Amino acid sequence: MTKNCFKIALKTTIPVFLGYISCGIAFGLVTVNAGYPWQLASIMSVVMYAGSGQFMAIPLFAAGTPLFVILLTEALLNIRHIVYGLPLINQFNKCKKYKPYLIYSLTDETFSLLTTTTVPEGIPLDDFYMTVSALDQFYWFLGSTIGALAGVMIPFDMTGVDFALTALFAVLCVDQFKKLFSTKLKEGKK
Amino acid sequence: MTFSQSVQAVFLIGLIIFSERLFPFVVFSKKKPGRLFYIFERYIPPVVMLGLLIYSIRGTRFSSIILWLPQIAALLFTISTYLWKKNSLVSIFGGTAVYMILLRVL
Repeated sequence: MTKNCFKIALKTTIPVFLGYISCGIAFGLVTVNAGYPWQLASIMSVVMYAGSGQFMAIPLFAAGTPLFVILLTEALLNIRHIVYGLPLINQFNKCKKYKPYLIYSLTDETFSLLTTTTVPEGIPLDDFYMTVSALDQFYWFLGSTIGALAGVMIPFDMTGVDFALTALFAVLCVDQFKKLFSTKLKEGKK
Repeated sequence: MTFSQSVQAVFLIGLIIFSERLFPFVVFSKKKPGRLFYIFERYIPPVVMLGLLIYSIRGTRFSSIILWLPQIAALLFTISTYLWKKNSLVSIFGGTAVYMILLRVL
């Protein structure tokens, strides 16, 4: 992987960094405040890696909800993920060795970045996709672990930093609709 | 639930979420893409993006000015500066700053 690729991926993911660190810290705090050890927050950010799903799971765990109810709730909450792969099938097929990780780490925010950002010229698509996806998960893991370990000690008031994700969606929305109105539908081949 | 029960549940949930993310790749990777696929490819990203945007401002209420002005002003700032200057980072940082300042002064 080139230095340039990492730099551009870092710049591309700055808004996600702001959002994931602040929301991650909030999630870590929620986990510890529910009476669980900090490790649970970190494990969830690796095994599940789904923001709203993780926030939803903690009160269900704490209340001792029956397992099948929890599983059903999570399946329904995350059902939107079944369409996220569709626009990315062709691109992911070009990323052979990274493909399993790219599929596993396809969150709302990573999906948004990958479908909207044009891969810069001279940078291999697979390296760029992999770096963006891995950085995003790193931010989320870092945020939730910090929040669970030391959330109560954070001296400054971060309320509102998570607006970065709303602003990111707004900007990507503008890009997507510009693209939609300026291109025509490709014809499917028989 | 205890910690270890929760961890077991987390692994099952992780399996469910991964299956959901994997679903389109299993279903559509072998078939040749048809017209429906191109329709999906074209319309899913903008529709999802709009959905995520609306979802992320779902907490906005109009009963008191502090509940709507920060979101709406910051969003207008982000979108208008982005249309004008086309610099995503400036618009995102600026919008977030507007939001955080309004939250504190109102």
